[in-house]
Amino acid sequence: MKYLFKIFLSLAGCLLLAKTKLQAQPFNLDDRVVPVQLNLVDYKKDNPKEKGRINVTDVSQEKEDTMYFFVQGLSMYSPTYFSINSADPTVPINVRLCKDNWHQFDREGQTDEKGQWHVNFKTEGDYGIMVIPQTKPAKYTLLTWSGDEAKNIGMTSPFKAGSVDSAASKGFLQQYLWYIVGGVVLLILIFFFLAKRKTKK
Amino acid sequence: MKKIFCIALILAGVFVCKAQEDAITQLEQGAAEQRQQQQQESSGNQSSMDAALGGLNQFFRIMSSVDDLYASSNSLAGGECSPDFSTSNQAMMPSTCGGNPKCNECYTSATNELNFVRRQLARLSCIYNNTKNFNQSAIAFGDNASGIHAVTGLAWQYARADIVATFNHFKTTYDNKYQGLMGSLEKALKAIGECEQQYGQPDWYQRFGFIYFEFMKDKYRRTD
Repeated sequence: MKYLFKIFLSLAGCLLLAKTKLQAQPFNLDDRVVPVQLNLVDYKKDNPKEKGRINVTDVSQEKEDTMYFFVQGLSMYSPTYFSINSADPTVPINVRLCKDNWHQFDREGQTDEKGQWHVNFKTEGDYGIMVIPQTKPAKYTLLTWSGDEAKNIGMTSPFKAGSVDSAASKGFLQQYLWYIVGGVVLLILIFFFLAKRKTKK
Repeated sequence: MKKIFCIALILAGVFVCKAQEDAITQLEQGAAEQRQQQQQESSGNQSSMDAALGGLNQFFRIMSSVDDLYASSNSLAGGECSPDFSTSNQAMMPSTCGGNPKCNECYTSATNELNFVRRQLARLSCIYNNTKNFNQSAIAFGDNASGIHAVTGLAWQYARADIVATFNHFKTTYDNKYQGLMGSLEKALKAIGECEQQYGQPDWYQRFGFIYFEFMKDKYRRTD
């Protein structure tokens, strides 16, 4: 019994100490890169323009040179806004947004004299954020907002303007009526012509 | 003594896990709105969080609607898929009962369903293309990086096989979803056909709707 208790305690300890490795984009082979998920929560449900989901995260970066974050569950039909705001505008912070892997930066920038940098875009699924402050410790706020899906997304109509072609809608008789009438008149004329010739003979 | 050591190990794990979370604080639901309210009411020095929320408000002020916000946004990645809603000239469908108010009412419901399916098909196609590109990029990256060391190379081969198997499963998921959406598309086109039957062109689906359906089947069918 004592032996089993010891094994149970050891296993429990190991599980608590083990780092959970999240399955997350961007793609990564480096075990040292452990991105933190930024969870989106509902935002301003009653406001038709601002309604969506948001994440606001305060970070105090003291040890790592680069911190990694990611946001999931975005829609390509929704606008997305991202910003980083430094608590100390005199400390520039470099930031990179990555889609496929951490070595390919799709957007990058540095906080300005006010300690701010922002960008808006659209994407499906998720994206990664790399934050590299020039000095440490660095305190900053990350904000991601994703709106509702837009109604007007540039969808063209599959319908032709106007009605169906009249030739296509009419039946055979209606379409060729004048040709038939003309043909009958011609036949009658030919008949009379031949009948007159026969009478003369 | 051994028992005490095991208990200490567990407690250490609890503290380590807690310590790792201390540096990152995420606002819970509703907190962002409350913060914004307080920011508007106070005129004191702004924290970085207040500045972040202020920046978001500034962004909202520039645009008048979600549609404007969407239109002003570009894709995050350069090679990222954009939805394609174009229709070939041969597949374009006529609408014959436009002037009839009752027909318009019938049409609205059916075309809303049609447009919803079109949105979902475009999204499905983009998700597939983005995932395919991501996988190809990941495999290329892994193939290049794994050549550094024999052990790394072996570990990568296992990971590579896993990625390939997962993508093959994803292809099956795409095909199943494609079939489901094609069913919904056919249903929406037949609903339009019923409107035409009542107020406009009889046999509309057989003459025009079916051509559009076949066009969409080919457009979104997976070819790899």
